[in-house]
Amino acid sequence: MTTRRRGRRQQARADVVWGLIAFAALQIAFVLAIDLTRPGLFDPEYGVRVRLLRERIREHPERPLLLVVGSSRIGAGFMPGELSALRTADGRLALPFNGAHLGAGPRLNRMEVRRLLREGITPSWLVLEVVPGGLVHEVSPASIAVLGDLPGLCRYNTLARDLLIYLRCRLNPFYNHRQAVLSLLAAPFVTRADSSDHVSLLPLGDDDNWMRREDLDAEMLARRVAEARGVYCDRLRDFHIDPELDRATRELLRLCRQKGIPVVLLLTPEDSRFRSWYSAETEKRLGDYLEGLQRVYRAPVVDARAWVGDDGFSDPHHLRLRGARVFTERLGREVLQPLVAGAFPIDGPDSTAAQALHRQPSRQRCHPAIADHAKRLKTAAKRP
Amino acid sequence: MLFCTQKFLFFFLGVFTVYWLLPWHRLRVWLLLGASYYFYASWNPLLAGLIFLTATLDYTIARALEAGTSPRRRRALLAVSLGANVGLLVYFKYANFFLDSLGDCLRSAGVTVPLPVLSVIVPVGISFYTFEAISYTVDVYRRRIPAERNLANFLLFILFFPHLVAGPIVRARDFLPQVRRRKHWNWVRFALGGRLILLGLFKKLVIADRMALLADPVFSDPTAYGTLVLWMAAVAYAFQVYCDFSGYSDIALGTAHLLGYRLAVNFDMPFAAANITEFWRRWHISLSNWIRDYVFFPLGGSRGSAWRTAGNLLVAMTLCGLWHGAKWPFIAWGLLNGVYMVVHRAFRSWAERRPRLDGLLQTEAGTGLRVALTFLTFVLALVVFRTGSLSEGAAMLGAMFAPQGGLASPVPPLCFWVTAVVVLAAHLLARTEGAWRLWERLPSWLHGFGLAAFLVVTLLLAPVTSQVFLYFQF
Repeated sequence: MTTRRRGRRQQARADVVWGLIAFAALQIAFVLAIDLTRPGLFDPEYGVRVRLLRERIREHPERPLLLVVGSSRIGAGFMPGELSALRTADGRLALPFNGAHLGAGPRLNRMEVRRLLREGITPSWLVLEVVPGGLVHEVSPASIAVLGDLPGLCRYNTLARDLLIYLRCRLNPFYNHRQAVLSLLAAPFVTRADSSDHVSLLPLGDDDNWMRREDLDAEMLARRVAEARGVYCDRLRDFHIDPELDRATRELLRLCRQKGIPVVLLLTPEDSRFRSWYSAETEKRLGDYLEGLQRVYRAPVVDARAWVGDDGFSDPHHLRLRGARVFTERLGREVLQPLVAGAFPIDGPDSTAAQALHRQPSRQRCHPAIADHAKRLKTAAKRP
Repeated sequence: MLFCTQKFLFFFLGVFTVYWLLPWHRLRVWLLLGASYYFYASWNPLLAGLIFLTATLDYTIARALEAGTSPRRRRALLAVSLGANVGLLVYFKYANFFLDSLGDCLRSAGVTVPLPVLSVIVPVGISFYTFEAISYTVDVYRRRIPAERNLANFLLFILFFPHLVAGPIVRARDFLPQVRRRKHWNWVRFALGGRLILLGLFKKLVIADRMALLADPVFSDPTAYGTLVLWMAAVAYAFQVYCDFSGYSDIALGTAHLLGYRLAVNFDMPFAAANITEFWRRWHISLSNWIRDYVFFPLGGSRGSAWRTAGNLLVAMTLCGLWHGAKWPFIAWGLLNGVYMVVHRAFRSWAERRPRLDGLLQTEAGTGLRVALTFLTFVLALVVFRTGSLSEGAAMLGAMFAPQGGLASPVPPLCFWVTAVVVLAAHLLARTEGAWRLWERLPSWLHGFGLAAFLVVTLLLAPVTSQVFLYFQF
């Protein structure tokens, strides 16, 4: 009897221990499998965009890709579907695609471009949004990073914190990502009681949620203004670029140079209220910084901050439909069409114009927009 | 604090760890008492204090009952205890219902009297712990159990957090000896507790909460849906109620096991019952037993004439309905179940006099038919239980039997059918002894992986929004 009871106890203990081991093993196996095969599961927005991008490439394999990456500003403001046909110098049509990501800053932009390259998608041109406030602080992208992104993250000073965030987000993945897993394995069992897992994008990657809403009432607008002010006002008054974010920006630009991808740096539209938050000192530092990037990486800067009137915004820095149309049309006409046609002053591998520009002093390589910007800087510097 | 939330997980892990690290038994009792008080106070600290006070009153009265010899004095003490417990229950749970009903009666008689509406919060689980306290004082009064001498032990009997808010309704004779006994770590118990918690989570998250996604919208507007969807919703609600409540009971039993306590089993595959009497022996067993012991038997049980027995059954089951809440649909549901039981008793005695029919009913096919009929009657009664009023219940039952078109199912029908198959398969598997023996023969690593896979499925299939346990409202 005693032996039998001891046997039962041993079996119970073994069951518990094996259960714990098995649960841990299943979690690790699941995380590895998802990380290696379906990065979009932990980052649904990226997953949806990359699926759309693959579909467009499959439809038009002959078209060279013009990729625009950045934050929700560009996600809401850039409407590739509204562009006139972009033709390369040899008459081919380019494929413009909005590759933005909510909350993206330098680190997330870099992570997303690296992911695309790993997946075999190499853009022919890259328009990289620069959010000045995003150079001061960026929320760690480790929560949506996958295993393949870790070597990139590991090169930063925030390694321990990022790894901790990564691991914390991997705890209990079956529960935390159940909706995404079910949509892959058993779609009828998906229950969408909230919209957090639901990413709604248009075929060319622009965001359907933010700007299609034209029904902003005064209260909602006031709330959004207060939010933007809370996040950006102090950053823009006392502007200091985070060295980690500077490094991420430079690494992405270096990577693009290595891959022969011409890059344009883009400052996206802001309303007059938002622009008033910049101090003169901030404008100067930002201008110097961007000019430095342009000089080192041959990436021209386009300052589109004042391209859209205040009535084109749904909050101080996100465009509504009307504003997005204005911005997209001008961006296409003044930047994207010349860029894909090789007529934009850029130092790409095939651009003879750019090679010529190599030999010119950096100030002369400025895009008119950055020249405007420099003029404004001078005026600001003269102010008491 | 819900059982299937992260907050409870951390709370329980803390209590569990400290509990088994403490070397002193008395300190463990005090720890559980403190944890139970905190558990209840996380809803409402004032009401937690109220339970504390009423439990202390019951403790004192029970001591006096035990010491007393004068029958009159003892009866008076029992009346005080019952009055306090039932009085609080009526005040918190039924006062507004009675006032409303009185107002309706007076209005229909042409008298308009302004009656007050009490602004009270119903304490969570009041019906459960009140019945536990009543059973204790009645048992002490009947001298079936001795009065507990240690106040902390008695308070733990009432407040023990696994059963505090939604049962099972424990009896003092089962629980108090366990409080006194020193607990030793036991792997068998630990494994059993873990399995029960796992099973409870599966029932709650995967079946009950998913079925709520079908039942809730349909019951909120039954006229908008087609007949088939109404039937699906009615069956879905039956699954939801069963898995929600039995899932809670399983988690309660499991957590109690992890702390070295054994609570009464509350459900025993009720949908496999072949008649309504058997159903009530398998459904909410602790409440059924309580009503049997403290209502049905004192009324005379089934010892009298058939009519008297029928009357007793109707009274007992109506009280069972009223226990669920202060609403006419609950009372009608209890009465309906009483009628089912009376009809079943009459049919059984009629069939027993016809051996051929009785033999047919005992065959596999006959049993299957009886199980299906029992389930159907339960589902129909639940329609009355779930709807907001008797007229809504009647309207939905009418629509279920008079084919009508309407909206499609609010969730993919595949979800419903898969769930139905899972519930059916679980009932069949539980009746098969071979399945359990086969499971026991499997090696430990396979047990471990099986349980881990079961947990993974539970986590994956949990809906985005979790529902509060249904029986918290009772």
